[in-house]
Amino acid sequence: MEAAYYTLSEANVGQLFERARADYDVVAKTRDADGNPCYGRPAAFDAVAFVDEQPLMSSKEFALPQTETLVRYEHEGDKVRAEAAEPPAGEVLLFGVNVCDAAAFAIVDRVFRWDYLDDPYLKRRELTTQFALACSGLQRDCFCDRIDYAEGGIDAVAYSRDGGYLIKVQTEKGRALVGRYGDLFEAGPADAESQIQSAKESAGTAKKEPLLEKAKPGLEKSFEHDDWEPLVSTCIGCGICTYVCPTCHCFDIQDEGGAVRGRRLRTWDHCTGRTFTAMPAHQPRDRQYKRYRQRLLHKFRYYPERFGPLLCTGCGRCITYCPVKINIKELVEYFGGLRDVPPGGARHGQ
Amino acid sequence: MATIKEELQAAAAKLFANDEIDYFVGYAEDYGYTFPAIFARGADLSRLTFDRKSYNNLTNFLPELRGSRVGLICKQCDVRTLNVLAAEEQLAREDVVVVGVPCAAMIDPRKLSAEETELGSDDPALWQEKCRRCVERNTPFADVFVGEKTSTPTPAEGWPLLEEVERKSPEERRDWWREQMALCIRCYACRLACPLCYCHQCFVEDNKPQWVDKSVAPQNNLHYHIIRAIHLAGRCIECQECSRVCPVGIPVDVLNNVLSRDFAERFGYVAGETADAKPALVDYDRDDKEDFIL
Repeated sequence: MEAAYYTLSEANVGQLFERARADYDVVAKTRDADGNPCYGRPAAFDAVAFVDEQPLMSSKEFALPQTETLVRYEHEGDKVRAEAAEPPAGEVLLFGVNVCDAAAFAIVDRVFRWDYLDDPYLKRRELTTQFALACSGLQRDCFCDRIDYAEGGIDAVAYSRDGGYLIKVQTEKGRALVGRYGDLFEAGPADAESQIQSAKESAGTAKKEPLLEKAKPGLEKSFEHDDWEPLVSTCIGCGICTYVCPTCHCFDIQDEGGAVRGRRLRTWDHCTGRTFTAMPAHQPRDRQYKRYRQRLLHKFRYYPERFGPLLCTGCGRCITYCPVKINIKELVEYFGGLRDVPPGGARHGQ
Repeated sequence: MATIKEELQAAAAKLFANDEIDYFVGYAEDYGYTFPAIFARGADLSRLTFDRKSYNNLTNFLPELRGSRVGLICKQCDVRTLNVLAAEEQLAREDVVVVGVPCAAMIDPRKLSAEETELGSDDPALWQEKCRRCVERNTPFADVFVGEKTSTPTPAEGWPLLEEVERKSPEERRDWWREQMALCIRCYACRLACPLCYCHQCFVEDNKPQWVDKSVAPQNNLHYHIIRAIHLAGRCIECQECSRVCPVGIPVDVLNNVLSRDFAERFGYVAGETADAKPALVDYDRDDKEDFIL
């Protein structure tokens, strides 16, 4: 659909949250015991943090939970009864999510409806409406200005302006959201799109030097580069970067229980780990630098080759929370041929 | 007078020039961070540094470099790891050239507000937790020393968080642990950042038998953390890497601290304190304390 523009006053944000709770399971940003932002289900608008601060965990768990039951089984006499888990039901509203998190779903969707339709994931996506809040500036390690991801899949995006927000509605679900609470919104100005563009320019989030295009030729011939090992051999192989990532979506299937009853479930898994794919086959990447290389090239080369966009929205969480501060953006620039000096200086022998 | 950075770069260059090492494990600075870096002979040493953000325990990289001769920056708290690794026959001490550095306490960047980029702080409130427990800032144990000795005080605060947890009633303590364990995302960064969790096969990844359920749930998460803590009994050197790297901020090392304190009180044993001590759980002495054995 063609984008439609509205305005929402500061005072009506709380109204929207409270009223939406009657129709949706509303997920919004709130604060944990230490005051850090996190996604949750605040019980009232007082507890909502309608801010652009980036939470540790992305919103991916609301379509791809970290642990999800697929099948339950139980022995009854000499019979086994197996039942698929109840499909997700009820509409979910992701209220005030960061744009980098909201944009990730459209990217991950392509994998989950590629050659096999992933029912639980796709059902959740079908039931989810995203009302994103655009950032007023780049934060910490993020680099969304370099990632040309499409915001078109986000149902509605709110851009902060004096006294309220400019709302860009881009999908039918977004239209339905605004339609349900139409009295809270007013028609947007005629020059809404140019206001949004200038807001992005001043926030520093406008796109420039897209990594997809610029680094592609270099990355295509980087696999055998001698510098992978010296530059990323400090990777410890934990799952932090992949678990906090809004676009990493690999999972493992596990069984829990015993002879009488139990369940088959899926949990997040990560290519940076030593035992990744060891259960069904083997771990083909025998050294840690090869496992890190896989993560980087999957995001910046293999996924785009197959699906088009990057498997990254530039949120920067993988840099912020990395125990050894490996910086994916700097490495993409280096292996993509956009800089001569490797991050941290050359560490290979001469 | 040369800065510690210059001294360090000169020391590393000399070790390479004299063919004493194949790799130098240190810290590099770039993009606003200080991070571990492994330099090979001929590498550019201009970004090699040691500063108030050099908190990683670099001994974690030694098992991967086994068989090579390695120069390694060690703070006093990291040095103890070497003693445990050597006692457990995980490294050949003669293959490692320890470059000892004075440490004026490491800063915890998470405690700095956006405006506070000044890293010279002597305010313990901005330090890494482990630095508040520090008892010795200038390592007496190294092959090469760089930098001027520091006179930053050692607060030696003991185990404040452990004491706080122990003051809770059993019910409160159970609830506190439940809350902590509900946060765990099972990324296993605590295990992988731990220089003494070097097993190639970890119980947590076994399927047959499956010791710990793979689903992320408070009880399973606690199960993992308790078994890991017990595997480190009498071995943990309290470098606190586990808690430092935890993305959700669980003070994982409180479990290890209980055991460390028990070993100190009951066996008079502090892991890695001396170069020649056998691991407590494989050593026997007729004079061992027996008052806690029924």
